[in-house]
Amino acid sequence: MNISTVLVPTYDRPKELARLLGYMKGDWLRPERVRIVVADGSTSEQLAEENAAICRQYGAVYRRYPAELLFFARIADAIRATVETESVVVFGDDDILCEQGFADAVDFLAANPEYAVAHGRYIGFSGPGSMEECYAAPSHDQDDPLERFFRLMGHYRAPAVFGVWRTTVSVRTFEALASLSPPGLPGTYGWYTVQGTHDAIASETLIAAGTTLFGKEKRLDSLYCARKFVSWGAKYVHYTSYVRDEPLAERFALLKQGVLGLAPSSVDNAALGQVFDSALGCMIGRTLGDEANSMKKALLGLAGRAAAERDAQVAAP
Amino acid sequence: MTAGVTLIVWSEDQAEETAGHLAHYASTLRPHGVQLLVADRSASESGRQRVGRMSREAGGIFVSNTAIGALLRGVQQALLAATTDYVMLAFPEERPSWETLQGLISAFGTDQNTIVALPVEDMSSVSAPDAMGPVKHAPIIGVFFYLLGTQPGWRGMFKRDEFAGVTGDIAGVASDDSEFTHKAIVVYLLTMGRIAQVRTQGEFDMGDAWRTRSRSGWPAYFGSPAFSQQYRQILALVGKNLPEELFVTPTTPDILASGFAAYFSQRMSWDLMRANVDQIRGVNPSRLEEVAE
Repeated sequence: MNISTVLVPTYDRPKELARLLGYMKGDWLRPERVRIVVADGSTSEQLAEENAAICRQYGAVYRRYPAELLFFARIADAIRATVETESVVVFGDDDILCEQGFADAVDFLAANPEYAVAHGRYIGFSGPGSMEECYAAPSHDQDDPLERFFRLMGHYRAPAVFGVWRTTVSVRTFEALASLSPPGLPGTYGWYTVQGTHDAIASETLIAAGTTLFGKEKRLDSLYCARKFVSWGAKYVHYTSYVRDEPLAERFALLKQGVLGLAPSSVDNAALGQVFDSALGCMIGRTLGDEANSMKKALLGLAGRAAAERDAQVAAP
Repeated sequence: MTAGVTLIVWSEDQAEETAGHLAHYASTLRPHGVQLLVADRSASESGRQRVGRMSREAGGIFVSNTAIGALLRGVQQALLAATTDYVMLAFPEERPSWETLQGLISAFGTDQNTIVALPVEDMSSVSAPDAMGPVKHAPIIGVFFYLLGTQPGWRGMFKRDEFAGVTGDIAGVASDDSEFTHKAIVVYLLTMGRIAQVRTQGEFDMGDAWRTRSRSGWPAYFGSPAFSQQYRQILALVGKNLPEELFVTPTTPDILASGFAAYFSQRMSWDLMRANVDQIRGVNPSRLEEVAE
């Protein structure tokens, strides 16, 4: 296996960090195969000390960041400052990276320079016995970067962010994300969280741009990752209120500017702008459709119950 | 005033299709006393002149303006001067039959509260009306399921006075996108009274033109401050006619917003956006490949 780096962003969660590094101990942590970097945004000295001690125990590189630093800025800085391998995976402290899938992805990237990202199959679990495959999606390996970008966004099913990235692409993408993140974003583990609401647009759009405009994205058949699905308490954006209250307009323009700025010079910027509109439209359209379908089910359910109550009243003596 | 219909044809840079529509009108609908109002928003002066000439030759009234709000005010004025009880909107590519119009007129019956008659296929999402039971005629439910339907907004027949009033209101907040404006007009009307559903005998024969009309600009338009402002104003207009809270949860504003979500999602569907991208990239549609995925 070629050598790669696992970058683990964490904060205030020594137990999760210890569990992840403990799991990876054995063959995983041989320095000729993988390097571990922990980017810690803990809010207290005590928790940061605990995390640092865990890293020393397992031979991981530890970097401490101010809690208030933007999450994406933390990632970008950690990659820039510590990652010397050709590939890197940014991986949460509560997920499980599967050894074989990881090795396959790293080797695939090393052997195929036209690819920017590689990963494999995912399973999700919320507790014992509740495990199922998730994020099923095809590779985005068409020759035209515009087509790859549209397909990934339009059929958005899987966060390519969890894949193994070519390091150069990863740095550019996370720097772009950091520059577009609104002020006040807490330095906690908030991938898609903007001011307390779940905002899928910003991060997923730029990540999709990074993974498709700079190269192809490969889905291997190996089991790559197990994700723990937990409710983390964030409110979700309802796009209908998002458009009504105008942040969508601001965000749409900002993101377009970000994607156009991120794109390599080989990509036709004018065409990318138009494809961006359609890709975002597709993604938003699907989300809105899901929202409407939920309402339809709720209304039909309420109407059905009302009809049943009426029938019961009629039948009563 | 006679219990007839004024057919409003909305023409926008479609002189050829409008010519076809007017020929259909002259041979099929005019003999039955259907009146004609052509509202034209063509970009070029020559285009507007051509449509105006054709419209007058067909015996219709012609109003024209490139600004959608001003055009709607023109429509309102023309309707107030018209002598029919009902109005019906059509795009140039549509060919409503006399049977369809008759069926819709009959749907109004003697119920004074019926304000809109819609072809049954237009309300296809309400194909489970029995399941709707006691809430079938609640305006907000009608609005929601109307927006959930996949047909464009203007199909159906409306009482003239209410239509003219609503058109005047919407003119003040009209969106740049004609179809969204039309949809808003219909939704606004649906909040005012009962919807009668009719299984029409004739077909509209409207083709697929509406699917691609201005669709390429929709996502960027949807993401613009101008759209947000117009959407808020339309929600406020429509919402004031929806006082009834059928349920504690979801609330009427939630239902209304979800209805619009359904409409927006149709305008930014995978198929439409896929067609846009194929056009941008100058390639043939790759849908077979999509299916293979």
